[in-house]
Amino acid sequence: MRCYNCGRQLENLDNCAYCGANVRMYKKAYALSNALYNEGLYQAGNRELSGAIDSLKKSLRYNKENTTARNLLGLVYFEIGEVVDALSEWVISKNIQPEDNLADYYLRELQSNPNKFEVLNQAIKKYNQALLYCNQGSNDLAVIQLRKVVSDNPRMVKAYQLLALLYFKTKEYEKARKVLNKAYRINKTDSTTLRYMNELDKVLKGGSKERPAIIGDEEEGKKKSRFFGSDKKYAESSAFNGMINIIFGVVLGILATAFLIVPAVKHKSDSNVSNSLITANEQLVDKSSEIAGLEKKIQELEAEKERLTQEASQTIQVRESYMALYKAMNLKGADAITMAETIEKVNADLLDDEAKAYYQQLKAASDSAALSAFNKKATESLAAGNFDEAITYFEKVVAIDEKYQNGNALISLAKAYAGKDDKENAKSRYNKVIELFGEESSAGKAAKTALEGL
Amino acid sequence: MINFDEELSKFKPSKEIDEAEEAIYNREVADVTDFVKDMLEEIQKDNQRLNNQQ
Repeated sequence: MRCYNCGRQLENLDNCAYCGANVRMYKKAYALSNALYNEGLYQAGNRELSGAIDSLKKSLRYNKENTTARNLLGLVYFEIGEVVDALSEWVISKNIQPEDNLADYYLRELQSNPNKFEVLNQAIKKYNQALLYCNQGSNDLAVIQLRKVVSDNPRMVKAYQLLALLYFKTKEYEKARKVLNKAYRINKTDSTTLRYMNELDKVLKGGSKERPAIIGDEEEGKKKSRFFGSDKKYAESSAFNGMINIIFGVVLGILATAFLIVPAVKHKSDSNVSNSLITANEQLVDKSSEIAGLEKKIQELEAEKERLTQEASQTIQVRESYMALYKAMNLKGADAITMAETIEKVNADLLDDEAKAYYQQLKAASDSAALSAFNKKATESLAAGNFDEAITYFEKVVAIDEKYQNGNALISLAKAYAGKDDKENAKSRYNKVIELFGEESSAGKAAKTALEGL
Repeated sequence: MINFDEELSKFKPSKEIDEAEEAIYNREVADVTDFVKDMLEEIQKDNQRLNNQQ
């Protein structure tokens, strides 16, 4: 035990050996504080929590540095669902005794489970909301909220009491009894719970003024306080008749922020940030996958488009071939060149077998008539110096029969290219003549001679 | 008999966790020793004042 004045260790004297301060009353207050702590501990063990709160508060009035009493007071508050009061006591206790303090453990337990912490906070908010509903007359909503509250925090005594009050109003006495029993099991000396249970007995049993009927031991209500031997039931005291407000306030506020609020908020913030990052990353992955999928889809669609375009083109060609064939089949009295030109538009590969047979018949007939006609036209064009037209018709001739007139058509074609100064094509045609007829044939010799002249 | 409105008025809203800081700040933690110390200081001041007057 230390001197309240100088802080030095006290001896078994009425005065401090160092500063001389009179410590007789101080020692008595210290001893009384401990005695009241023991009283509070006993009551807490018997679930007389209202009495325990009173005793422990008194204990702290005699010695505010009794951290054991303060920790127990916090525990009792927590047990009846008063979370904020519990936290307050533990934080103050930690401030008074930073080392080797059980309050550390309690605070750590709460902080280590942020979800549970949040659930408790939500229970408080819901309780306040329920109270608001009651004041607004929305009792049904209040009942629903209070059920959630007691589910989130089964220790919240005043939630049970308010719920019982609501059940009283709606005359649901059995429900009221059930919730009051729960409240009673938590705190056997809560005056509101006891009063409500008495009223319930009056209503159900017709005016009994005995102790409330409860489920359980009949002897519970007869237990007395061991220390003061009083029959009086402990009820909640009125507000503490204030001592002087102190310097601790500012320091405690800062410590409370540092020990409790900031870590919890930071943890929640970090947790929120982490959750947001995870969500963002997941979304990013999803989007990337989606993009990859869409790109693949685009490629598939482009390939499909290409295929369909080709198909469409082929369809048009098929149609044009059949149209040309039909036209050729219906040409009557047409000259050979017109017939040949019409037949030329037909693509035999696109025709079916039957149409192909018709085409071949027509072509055979047309070719033989067209050859001389094309050749005549080409020769006339070549003689007139109209090399382009000559080339066109000679190409048609050699397309039908490249050996026509023993190679003369090819040679004439080469001449037409040479006349147009297209030596490349001219040489090619001369070489073709040599290839087809040989150098020793008359056509071959003529081609060879012409080649030398190019 | 329980009067609903009268009983309801006795129920006060509960402090939320966010309000813990304010609750701690407002918590009275003085004890008898502080009270006695303050009383002794007051007594000393009064004695001094009276001595000075004399």
